[in-house]
Amino acid sequence: MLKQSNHSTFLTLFFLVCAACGTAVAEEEPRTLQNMERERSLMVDAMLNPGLSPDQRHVQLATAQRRLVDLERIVLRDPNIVGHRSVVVRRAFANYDLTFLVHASAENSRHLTDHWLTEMGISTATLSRARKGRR
Amino acid sequence: MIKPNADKLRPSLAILSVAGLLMAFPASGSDQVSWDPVSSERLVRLPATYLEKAVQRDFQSSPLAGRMFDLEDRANAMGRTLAELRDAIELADGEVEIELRHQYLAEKSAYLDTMEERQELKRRGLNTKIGVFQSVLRKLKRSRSLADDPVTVDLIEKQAAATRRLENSIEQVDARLFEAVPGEESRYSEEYRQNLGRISELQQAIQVHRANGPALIGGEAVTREAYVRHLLAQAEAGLALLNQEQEMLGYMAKLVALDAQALQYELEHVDSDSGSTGPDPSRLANSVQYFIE
Repeated sequence: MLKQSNHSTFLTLFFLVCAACGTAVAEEEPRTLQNMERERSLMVDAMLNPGLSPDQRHVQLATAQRRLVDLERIVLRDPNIVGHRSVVVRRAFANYDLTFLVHASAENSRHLTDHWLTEMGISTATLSRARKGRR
Repeated sequence: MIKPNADKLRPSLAILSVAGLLMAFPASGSDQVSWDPVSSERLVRLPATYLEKAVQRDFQSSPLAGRMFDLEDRANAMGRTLAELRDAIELADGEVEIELRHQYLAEKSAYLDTMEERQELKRRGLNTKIGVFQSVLRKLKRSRSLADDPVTVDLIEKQAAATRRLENSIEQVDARLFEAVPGEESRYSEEYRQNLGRISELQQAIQVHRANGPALIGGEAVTREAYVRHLLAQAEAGLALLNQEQEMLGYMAKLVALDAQALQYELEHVDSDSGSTGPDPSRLANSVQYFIE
């Protein structure tokens, strides 16, 4: 019984330490980037949601687009992000076209959904070549 | 001749000499005072020329500095009293002179106690200042090493490229967006544009501000890191001088103790030399006259 209580104490401490580390890491992420990526993920969700009608999808994308254009500019102009070495920031700036979707799609004169699919490597040709099976 | 009241003075002189030799500990009033310095995170952002002033201003508003200045005032007043007593001793004689010399010794002992306490507070202040400068130096070195790191350099280049791409394409993007999604310009975009011009003016004013000049040592412009190292060296030199002053205080205390012993010895010999002028009645031969009748 003593052994069990030692084991459970150890596990509790272990999870507490992990949670503290996770919290510490999460707190380091710039807030502006977090907000933008949250909004972008909601927009991508709207793009891919099969339950939406075309009109509903259009309205949701338009609203998200207007909101996202400002958020992208806020991130690009945020002085706290300059030189911020976290993994999320480095990944965000590794690919401008995928991170700053609205600006990149407007620059390339593409529709938002087309642009995202192209950047993800999904096209008619790749879909037609796709096969079901083990990777 | 009036016999000085040596009996009254002797015990206090003995105490004075012992206390002077042992160099009494400073009064406990200084144990509670401290200086919690300003955070080095804030200091790192200041221009180098204002860093030292900010630390000094912060120190001067602390309880430790307040107590130190009180002790300095007290020591100055004691210095004037010592000068007056020394002048008075030269003019006095007899019992008055003895009393004045006793007061002189007591005042010197009290002066040394005050200076000892002040030295201790000054040492604490300097040690704290050194800690602050070391912390600032560590942060500057860390920023420099991070800035030189290849991952950071690469990230900053990508961020700069992304910002340039945004600014170059912003009008085109706005035109296409309003075509695709008609509506009013957002409040953020409108106010950002208005503020941009004012920001540029403010940045120019900062560039030409006299307080934004480089730090100078001996007329030569130096980096922030070099300037902080210079301030650190100055604080360490202050601490070294304090050690030397501590040695002086030790010698002064020893002199006070020796003066007290000398005065005590003087009084004891006056006691034994003064008294009856006739033959010593404790000698038997001298008492024979009382038995021959």
